[in-house]
Amino acid sequence: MPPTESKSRFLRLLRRTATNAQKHQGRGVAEENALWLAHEKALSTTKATSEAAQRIAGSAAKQRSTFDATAEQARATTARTPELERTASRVRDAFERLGLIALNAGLEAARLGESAGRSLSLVSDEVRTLSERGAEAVRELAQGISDVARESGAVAARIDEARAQSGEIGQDAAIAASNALETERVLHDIGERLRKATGSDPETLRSIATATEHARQLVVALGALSGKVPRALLVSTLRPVLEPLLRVVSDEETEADE
Amino acid sequence: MDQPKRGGLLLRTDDGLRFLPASLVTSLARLPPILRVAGAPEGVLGIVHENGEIMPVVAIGPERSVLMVCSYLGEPIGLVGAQIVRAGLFEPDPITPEALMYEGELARPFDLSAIYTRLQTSTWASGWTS
Repeated sequence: MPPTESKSRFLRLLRRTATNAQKHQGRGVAEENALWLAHEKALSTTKATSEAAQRIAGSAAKQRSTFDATAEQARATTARTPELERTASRVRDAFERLGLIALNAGLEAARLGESAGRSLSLVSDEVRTLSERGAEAVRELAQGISDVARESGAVAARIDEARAQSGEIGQDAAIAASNALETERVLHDIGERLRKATGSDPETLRSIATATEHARQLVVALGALSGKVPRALLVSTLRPVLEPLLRVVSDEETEADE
Repeated sequence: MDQPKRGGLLLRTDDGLRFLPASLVTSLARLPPILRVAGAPEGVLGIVHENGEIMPVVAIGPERSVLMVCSYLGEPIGLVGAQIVRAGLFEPDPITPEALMYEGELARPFDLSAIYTRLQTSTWASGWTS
């Protein structure tokens, strides 16, 4: 074959290859590729959802045990109330007795008279004032104990409610995780059926897409060189690299034409 | 000449501030269990055993915590119901010497003799007739 004819055949084949690749990419391969991409995305999203749901279920279980411990502490606080109230009652009783002692001392001071009973009267008044203050403080303390007990009871009840809600969240998360696993299984099944139906797989399609992209870039690069580089130089430079490819494409073309 | 101070108890009753002389008050105690007596005169809650003596208990107000053990003409009488304001020595009122002035308020004498008289003259167990 004369060199000129050989060069033009080479370039013709090159253009035809790029055009065919573009057409091929624009039709079934692109669709299949998109389908496989969507399938992979659905699979990875489902897997992530399943893992997240399992994590939520695990966290809800931990939360419930924390709620249990907190509610137990609140109930223990409430349970101590009667004991604290009894103690407060004993202290109040002691202050009341002390107040009576002070009053009796005051009476005794009154019987002793103004000069002899003055000291005793002062002590009596002071003790009585202090015992009244003490009794009042204990009354407030007892009220505080009662309030704390009521609040602790309310806290325990609210914690129980929160625990029940956490239980529901855990159950829902477990259901979501189970559904996500089922969806994952179905997506695997769809993948298998897709592989059988199209005869392709994501890896192959990705390779085709990459090859097509490279071919397109080659055509674009050649277009950019057009007129700037002598064609003979271009062909002689590209031929050793592209000849194996052109041979394959040429054989395919011939088979397709036949 | 200033009148000497008077010793005793200041009580708050439904009728206002009252003064009970120390000579009539034996002691103050926590109210022991009261034994109810059927047919007791009105105002008598029952009898109590306090400090080795048995005495009638007369209510002079709603309080039920402190028993005032009094003695009138040698007879023990228990009083309950008043709020005890203070025990000690008090200035007599310059206008009405039998009364006291405490923090700007007049304290009239508590009439223990009336209670004693009522206890002595009332018919006990009046519901029981032959």
